[in-house]
Amino acid sequence: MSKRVLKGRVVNGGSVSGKAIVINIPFSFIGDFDLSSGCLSKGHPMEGKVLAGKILVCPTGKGGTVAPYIAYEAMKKKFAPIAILCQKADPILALCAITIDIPMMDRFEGDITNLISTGDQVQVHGNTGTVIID
Amino acid sequence: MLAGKKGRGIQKAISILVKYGKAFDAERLAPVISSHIWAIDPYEFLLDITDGVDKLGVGITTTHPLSGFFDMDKWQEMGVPDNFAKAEAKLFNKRLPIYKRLNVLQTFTCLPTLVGNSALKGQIISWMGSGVQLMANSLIGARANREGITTVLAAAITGRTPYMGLLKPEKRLAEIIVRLKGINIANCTDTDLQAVSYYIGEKAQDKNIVIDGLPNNLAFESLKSLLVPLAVSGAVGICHIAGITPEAPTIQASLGGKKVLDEIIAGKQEMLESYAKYPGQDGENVDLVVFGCPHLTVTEIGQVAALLHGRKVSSNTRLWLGSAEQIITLAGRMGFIDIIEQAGGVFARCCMAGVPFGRLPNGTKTLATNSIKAAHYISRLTRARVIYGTTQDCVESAITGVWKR
Repeated sequence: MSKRVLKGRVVNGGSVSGKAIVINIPFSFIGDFDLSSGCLSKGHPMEGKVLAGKILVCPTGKGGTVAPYIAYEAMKKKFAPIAILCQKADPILALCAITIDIPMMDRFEGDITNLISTGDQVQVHGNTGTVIID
Repeated sequence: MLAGKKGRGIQKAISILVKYGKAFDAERLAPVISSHIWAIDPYEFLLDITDGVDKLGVGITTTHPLSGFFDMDKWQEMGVPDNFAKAEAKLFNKRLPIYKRLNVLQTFTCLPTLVGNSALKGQIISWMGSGVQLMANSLIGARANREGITTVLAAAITGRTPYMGLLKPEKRLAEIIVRLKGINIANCTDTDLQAVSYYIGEKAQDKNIVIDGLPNNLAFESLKSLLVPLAVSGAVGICHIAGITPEAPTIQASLGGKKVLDEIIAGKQEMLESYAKYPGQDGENVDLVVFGCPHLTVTEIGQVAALLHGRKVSSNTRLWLGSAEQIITLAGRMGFIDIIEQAGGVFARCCMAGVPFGRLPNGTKTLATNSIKAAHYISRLTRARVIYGTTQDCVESAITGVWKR
């Protein structure tokens, strides 16, 4: 498959590349993520999957105002994703990305959770607002 | 500040606020009059963001409760596991000197308005806690956004917050009108009010609401019960109550001349559905009873004391009560604390919903609470079965060790 280029809005800058993990429902670091194992929590549709070193793709965030602290601890334990791409940044997920300073983009043309599949090799160019799917 | 001329910590704090503001299209930062932080910040993050800071940028800063189920002076009496409490104590003792150096008031409560952190109509504040953000907007008319732990700390340090969302008068207007049907508020217990609120929050999601048909003489405890669950099952930031909310002398005023987006009808059936989400079976053992989410007022402590007077908590059951140190002192002067402690209750200053990592005493299978917020979070954060019931039913279950309605 040829390369595809997507345009989005930058919430937090920076450039990385890695494999995508796509979660099709709103995500929160509190409730959906187990800090002791680094996996998605018991009961989550993607239970047991890890975020470490991946580019997290999800529709938006949700809930718990303490989540940026969980994201920070996840980063310290090397359990955190390296970038977040979502359709619409919500305040808490945006604050997680800003707190741990990983690239985050939103407002893509089309549904980002359909445009990218789990396992895709993705480049995030957070400074130019482009995402390249290899 | 952004250039780093005021030090590395302030630079980090302001850059978080600027990025966050940009992400939500804020055109500027606004001065903040008061902050309410949660003293559980990761140590390295706290060191970084306070580097070179010797004075906070706001007039007053108070602290949210101690971390879930952890009170450094009470954890043994509460019976929480040693390994959990000792790890929490170590973190607490490491961070505390930093908060002390910055003159943060160690209030350790989710009701900062009751212990001296007051704000007035129209003033911009940056407060931790979904319940108190909602209460500040709805009862005092101070302006608070629903925001996260790191922007609140950054606001305390810099005295600034992005001017966006509920800080803007036009973004505070009610969008949804709520009508109560077949419920006589005068006959409702505070747990009934929480149950109705839990239903409304789920329906309203993150919209601004106005509730029609409420008397304007409700006690603070009833208002707290009506408001707090809206930000638990939903993400409501302001709930207008005509005649009480300073910006809303009337329903019309709360809508600001705009058309209502939607209507929510809540009645007895919806109230009972909320209770049914955390049901108790007659005759089942209750290992723990939890009061104080949000923290108890002196009036609520007095009510529990009246129910417990001259009685004893079952030897199979623990009774925890959460409140602020200052309120506990006042309740002590009134004689309430002696009654409750002699009966076997334990007072603590921690988050009684167990957020974020609270651990229950080993062997806790079933607990009962008169807080639907505590029921919501504890049932999700721990393996315990949680029963939601009235204060009276909870007290009786603490005494007999068995649930009965």
